[in-house]
Amino acid sequence: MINLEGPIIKGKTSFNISARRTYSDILLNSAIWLNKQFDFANTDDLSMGYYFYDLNVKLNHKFNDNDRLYVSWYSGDDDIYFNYRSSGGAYKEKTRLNWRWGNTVAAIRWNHVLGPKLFMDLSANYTQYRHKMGIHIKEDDKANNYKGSMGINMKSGIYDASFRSDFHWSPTPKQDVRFGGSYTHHKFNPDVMELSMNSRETMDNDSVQTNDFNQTFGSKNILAHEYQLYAEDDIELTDVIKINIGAGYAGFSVNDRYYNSLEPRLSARFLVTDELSVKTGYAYMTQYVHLLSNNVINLPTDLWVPVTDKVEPEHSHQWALGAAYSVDGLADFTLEGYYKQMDNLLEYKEGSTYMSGDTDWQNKVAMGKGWSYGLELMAQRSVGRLNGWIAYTWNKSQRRFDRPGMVINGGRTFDAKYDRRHKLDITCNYKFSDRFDMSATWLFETGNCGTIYTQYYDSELLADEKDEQYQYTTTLGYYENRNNFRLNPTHRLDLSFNWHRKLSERVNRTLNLSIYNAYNNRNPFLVYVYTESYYRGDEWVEERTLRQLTLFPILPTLSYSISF
Amino acid sequence: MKKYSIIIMAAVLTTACTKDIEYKGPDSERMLIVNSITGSGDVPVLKVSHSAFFLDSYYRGNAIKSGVTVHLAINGETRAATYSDSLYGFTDGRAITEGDIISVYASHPDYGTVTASDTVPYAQDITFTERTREFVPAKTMSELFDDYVYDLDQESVDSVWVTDLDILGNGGKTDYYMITIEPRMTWFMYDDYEERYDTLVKDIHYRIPAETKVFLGQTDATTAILEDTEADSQFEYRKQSYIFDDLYIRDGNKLSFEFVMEKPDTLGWIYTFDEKNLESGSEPHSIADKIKDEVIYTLDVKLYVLSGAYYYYHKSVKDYGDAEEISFLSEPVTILHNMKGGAGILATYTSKSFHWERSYKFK
Repeated sequence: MINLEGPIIKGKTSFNISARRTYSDILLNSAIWLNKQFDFANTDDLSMGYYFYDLNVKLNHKFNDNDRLYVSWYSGDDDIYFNYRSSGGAYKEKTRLNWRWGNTVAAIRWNHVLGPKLFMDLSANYTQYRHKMGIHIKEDDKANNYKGSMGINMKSGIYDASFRSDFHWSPTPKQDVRFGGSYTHHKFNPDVMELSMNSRETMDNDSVQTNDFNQTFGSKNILAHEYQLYAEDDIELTDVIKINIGAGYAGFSVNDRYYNSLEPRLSARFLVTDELSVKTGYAYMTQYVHLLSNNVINLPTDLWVPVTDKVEPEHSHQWALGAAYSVDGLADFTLEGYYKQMDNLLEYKEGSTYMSGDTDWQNKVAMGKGWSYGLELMAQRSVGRLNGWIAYTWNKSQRRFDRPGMVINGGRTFDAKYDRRHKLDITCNYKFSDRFDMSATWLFETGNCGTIYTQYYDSELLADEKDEQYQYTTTLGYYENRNNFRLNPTHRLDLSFNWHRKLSERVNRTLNLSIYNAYNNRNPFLVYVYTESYYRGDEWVEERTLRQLTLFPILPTLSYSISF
Repeated sequence: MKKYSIIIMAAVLTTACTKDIEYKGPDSERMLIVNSITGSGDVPVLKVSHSAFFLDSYYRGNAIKSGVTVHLAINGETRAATYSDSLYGFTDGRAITEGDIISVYASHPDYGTVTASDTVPYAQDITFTERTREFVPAKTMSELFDDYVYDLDQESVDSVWVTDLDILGNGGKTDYYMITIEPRMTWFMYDDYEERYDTLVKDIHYRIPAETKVFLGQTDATTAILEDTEADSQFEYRKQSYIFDDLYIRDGNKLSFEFVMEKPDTLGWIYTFDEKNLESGSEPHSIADKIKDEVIYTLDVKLYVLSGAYYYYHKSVKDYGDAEEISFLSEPVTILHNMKGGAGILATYTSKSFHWERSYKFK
């Protein structure tokens, strides 16, 4: 990781540039390369691995006391790759598998003081989410005069350009008013599949036979416009009662269809004593972009899709109630509960697949309802050498899809994919001295849900199969309820050590050692059934075990920063 | 080994790893399975088996022939069902008819008890009408059908037969239907080794006119009748089944199908036999001692009325089969069944058939 931060014009312009990249794939491919050097018979090339990188650039400029400009740019990608090339003999093969997803965010913001009580922020933003999965195979068979290639590319993305204005007005010392609006131009590319199959073969009679097939399936770009206006007022009614009341208006235009909604919100805080306060709140929200998650696998195959003339916006009501208690000089304690009700949630229909790009995604989805509720308890200490927090959350999230033609799980209620019942977060920071400090974070979370067919049984011939000449039945899988299986809980310890040193009057350096998953716990990424088949005498045996895949074991990071 | 140890350690520590884990979820007990799908007029046969846990070595071959108590009730009259070796299931020998209420009870000491019931639906009152005509299409067969079947004639055709079939509804309304359509052509090739004519069957094409959507009288006929095809694709090939609900087959409404059959003198796919292997011929011909100069066209259409239990089971089994073809990343499918306490299906249906046949001699 590299981070550079400092002034360009003292007191006016400053910059911050940071970049980082993981290195586990470099180590793996180095091991593969070394192994190849000692294996003289193997002339094949192989490289594979996973890495992620991100790049962050920020620029701030102060024109005067009333005008500031902020420019930022972020780009990051995750990449899983597998490249294989055989190089020996008359037959050559090249296989490339690539799975890449990432974001780019660019923003420019102008902050202007309109008056002693009125501030304004104007910003222009561009965001991009991209996802691409591809397999490409090339063959060159000199012995049979054949050359061919096959490729599949799956792509999706969402590209937004927006303009936003926010105003902050404080008419009285006990009142803060915020209002503003935004416009966003969306371009959705939910799922596109590109298929290509090309071959060239020289026949015995020297004629050349070529086959070319190139086709693109899937949804075309969907363009949409989103408008938002909002206003909220933070009012100190009395010394003990403070309320925030507001409303938003949102409109979404897509495919000659216009959706709009009024979104009220209200929250209140009651100061029972100087140490104890109680707060409550309600909000109604509408969402015009859905997250479509694949239920089977915990990989970035989630799609962001817009509402359309067939797919309606998601609505939710949320209620919250909580209390905060502060022990002066020691810690702050909060307890908060919430209940959220959602409608028009989106899930893939049963049997549909992310991979089938030849079907419009709107025909692959079902709409239903959901609800979630939970409790969070937190204790936080911000002062002293030892500080940090302990946070525990219990929550439950469920779904039901029972609309005609959109039934999932037989219309019965089931746990949501991201229903993770317990979460515990313990973070400690300790400053031993001005030259050395450390932090430790221990995280525990219940595993994700997934569906496993737990039983298999023979089917019966269907009515239209009974008069077939060749009859055979299949084996059907059974599960009592969707998302019936939970992965093992995840837990890990992250450590960070900082050594500070003053190199000169103006130059300081910090050496940081961070260890992700310090005790190398094998947290589950996904589970699958592993089958080992073999002959035991004359008997064909299939032994099955449930196997868990872990992606990130212990991962140390070293960084060196200099400030001047 | 020592020189590899650092490499191996680095690779193991910094990359993915797997481990076997114990299953701690629900539904680990094996269940009793009873399967029976019976048409009106037939004798129900109950196929009894037990399920396999997903980590078992074998998923199939778990049929139960003894040690299980099976009772079948028809309109309240209960009799014990016994195992029949020839039918591979339990039966009491009684046939069912429209309107019968059938129930099953099965119990096994190791796999538990299951119960289910179903009502035999009444057949739909319908009329099949057909008319056959002949015309010369402007396009080649490949252009007409636009698919990858290599054995279609690439040349323009002399003439084709078109048989229009209408299925007219008369009165009544039931909820769940299935239509199967199977147009075929049979021809005869002499087998030198067996010294007889082998009967060979070829699937042929048919088309559902766009007007059919209007005749169905539904707001969204595309979903109902063209469930397995794209809305714009009008041609189908070989036997197809369409399952749909909420179809109101009433007076004046009809389903129409158009069967486009290539006449034999334009066929480009008749197999010829030479000393080495079978090859597709470029010109059709009849060899007196190899291929009979007669082909028979047949058209079989069957309209099923399904019980609700069967309809949902059939749909979910089809979805499951389609998902299994791309099992990786496919959403799981819930098999909708009516067997309480276990799994399987007790379902009934009625059907009415239409058969059309015409033979044609080569010139």
